[in-house]
Amino acid sequence: MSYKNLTPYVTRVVEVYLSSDQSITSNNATLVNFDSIRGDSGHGVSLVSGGNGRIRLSGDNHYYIRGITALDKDSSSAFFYARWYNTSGTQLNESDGAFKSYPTLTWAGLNYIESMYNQLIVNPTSDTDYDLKIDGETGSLKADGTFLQIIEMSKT
Amino acid sequence: MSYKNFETSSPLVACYNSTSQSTTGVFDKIMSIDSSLFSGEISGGDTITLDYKAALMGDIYGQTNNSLGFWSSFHLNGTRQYQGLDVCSGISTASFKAPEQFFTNSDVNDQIESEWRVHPLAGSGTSIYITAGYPRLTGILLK
Repeated sequence: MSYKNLTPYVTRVVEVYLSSDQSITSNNATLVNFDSIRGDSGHGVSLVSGGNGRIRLSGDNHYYIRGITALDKDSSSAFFYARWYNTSGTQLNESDGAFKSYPTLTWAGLNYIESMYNQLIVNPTSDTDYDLKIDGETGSLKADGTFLQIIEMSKT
Repeated sequence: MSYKNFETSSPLVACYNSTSQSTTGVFDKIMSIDSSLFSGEISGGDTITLDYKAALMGDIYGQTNNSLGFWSSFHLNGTRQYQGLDVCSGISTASFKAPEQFFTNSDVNDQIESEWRVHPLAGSGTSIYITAGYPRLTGILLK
């Protein structure tokens, strides 16, 4: 007979964000250039050096990530999306724990639009890099409305 | 003899429906859910149960041809929780999107479902289309 010991997870909160607005000049998938990070001491999230916003999550941790991308669009009618990719450029989907965003309503005459949440819910077995990309519209990705809120759960 | 704990259960919850779903008419409907990535058992094609308490968020995405109200919410053991915010009213294009987010705290072995509701005055010709991948129900187990 054996007992499994209870091992509560250590929970840390991390935020990844833009320090300034990012110009989106192409309708094609464009990497969100996250350049700032802050969080609880000891967290395992980092921005890859020279990665232009690429995010690295530490292996064996559990991550619940919710993100917002706020795009001041050049058009009032086009949709834009925020989607997760791996480093090979392959889009990740729901079965990978990656949930893309759709835009909110386009109000007549206003180009400001805020997407609903994108989400990345993963338990990487080793350190793994992820890219968040915008597609479908050009404009200005707003620093004051674009960020990732990350809850990290680890055993140490 | 053993105790359930997070050693054998991921603290993450990520459930969704992998295909689109649609209907016509004015009625409340429990949405289909067919996929669970981490914790959670799905039964009956629309009901999730978790071994622990959980903080959950849900949302939907799709279209309707009617500009009257549309809402969505969780059900816990058949009881409707606080519903999401209606964003359809007065919008001629009548797409419902981001503010349809809804939250709840569920208890151990609660039967968790996701529901849509249509304004009763919307008319019998009202069509509802939910995009594949939605509803999505995500969250974290609590202990």
